[in-house]
Amino acid sequence: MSSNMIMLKSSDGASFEIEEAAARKSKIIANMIEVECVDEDKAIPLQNVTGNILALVIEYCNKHIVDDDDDVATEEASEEEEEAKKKKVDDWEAEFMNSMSLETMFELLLAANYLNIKSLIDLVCQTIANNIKDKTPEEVRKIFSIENDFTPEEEEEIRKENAWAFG
Amino acid sequence: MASSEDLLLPSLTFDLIEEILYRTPAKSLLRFKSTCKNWYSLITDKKFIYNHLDQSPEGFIRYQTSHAIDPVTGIVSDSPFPDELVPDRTSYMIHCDGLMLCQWYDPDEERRMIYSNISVWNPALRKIKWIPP
Repeated sequence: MSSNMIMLKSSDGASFEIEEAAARKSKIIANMIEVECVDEDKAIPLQNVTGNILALVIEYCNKHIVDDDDDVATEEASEEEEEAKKKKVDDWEAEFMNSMSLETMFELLLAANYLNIKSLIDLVCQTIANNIKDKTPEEVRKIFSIENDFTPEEEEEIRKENAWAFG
Repeated sequence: MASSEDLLLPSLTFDLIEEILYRTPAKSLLRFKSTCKNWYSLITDKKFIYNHLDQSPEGFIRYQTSHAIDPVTGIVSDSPFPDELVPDRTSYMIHCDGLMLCQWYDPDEERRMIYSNISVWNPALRKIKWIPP
């Protein structure tokens, strides 16, 4: 293995070694590498990400760097191969998100946002959307810590307009 | 699944909540309008609506009087017709971006006088707008 390794350090002091190519999935880290503010023997401190969440982010980046390499290697892949590959990634992502608690999803989303990893933001947002789509406004308020600022009359009015959506 | 009731989840920025709602089906969004004023403004905002449409997967719909079926996934949903419509009286429909331009036969003379027989129908929101003659 000749690829460069980079060290990342979580807010709670855990260190992780990651291939540069995988770390570049994060626009923030890619930028740091571009402007050469990454010291080879020094870990990059990530103040907003705890170790358990950073481990998930790294797992995701590692998985997707392998897939990107495949893309380069098989530029002339047939449509079926493309489809099979996409399905493999989808399956992996479904497995990755499966059984993750909402709390972890929220933390992972905040980390992906902080590190600017677009595809991971998309994946987590979609999973949260699937998770909340059948919930009631009351449940949604709890999940997002939202205070109901409608008067009972206003709320009733909006609900009436959209009554069928509550069925 | 763990209950979200007793644990306080980390709070997300409104930008991220917006990203989540872009990926939430239209029917759920109608329900979520009554969550709070911020959400109501977002969900009814034109820019949000267009972006939501852009992100929505394309689909087919085959409608019957009492329900609609997606012929690809086989998913059956409730009737997409608003109450004021009589579904078997369409004479034709043209679609664009999930909206249907419909012409209706309306045997009720009085209604024919008040409304035109042409309307724009949004099956996802079950809403209809009559085009004035």
